[in-house]
Amino acid sequence: MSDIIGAVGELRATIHITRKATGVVDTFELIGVLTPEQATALGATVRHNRNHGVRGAVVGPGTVVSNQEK
Amino acid sequence: MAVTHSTASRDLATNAVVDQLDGAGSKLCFRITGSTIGAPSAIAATLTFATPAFGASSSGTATAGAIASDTNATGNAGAVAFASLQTSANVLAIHCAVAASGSDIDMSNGLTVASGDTVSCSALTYTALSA
Repeated sequence: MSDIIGAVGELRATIHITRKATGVVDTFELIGVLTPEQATALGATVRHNRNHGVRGAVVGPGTVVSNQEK
Repeated sequence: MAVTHSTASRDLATNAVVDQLDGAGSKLCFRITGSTIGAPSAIAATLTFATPAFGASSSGTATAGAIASDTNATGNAGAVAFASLQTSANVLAIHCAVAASGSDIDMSNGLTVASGDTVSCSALTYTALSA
């Protein structure tokens, strides 16, 4: 049986990366989609927010919003 | 013609997927670009789910329980571009892109995980049949 590729599903996660070198914690809100091509087809965008503690207010499929906490 | 699934059906679908991760040691892996479910790419960080990994689906969405951090990530020069949810035996149940290819997230202080970094996940939900 083949894997289903292209079914509409969604994975959302909030991850934190603590940098060993600096101790800085970067926080990312991820919305998973199936492939980069599908993300493009869905009009996915990627934003990178350097503001402290500011979270992206609007996200869509394939969007990655990152917030750097320094 | 679009197909509409009832909430009960959406819960069944979501539960069927996440129940594959009920066994001890199921993992959330962050991978670099070029990954497919058949040929997954290199892992930058591996986090471990609780047992079971998810609670029961509600309104079509299942929420993961506590996820153990990777306190000494393998890391990779390439940015994280995919995530996979897999069993302890490395059978992938879910595989998805988490960033568009060529995006500006791929920068020095972006989604690149360095060796020894700590990667944690404070919230994770899965919806099998999203609108």
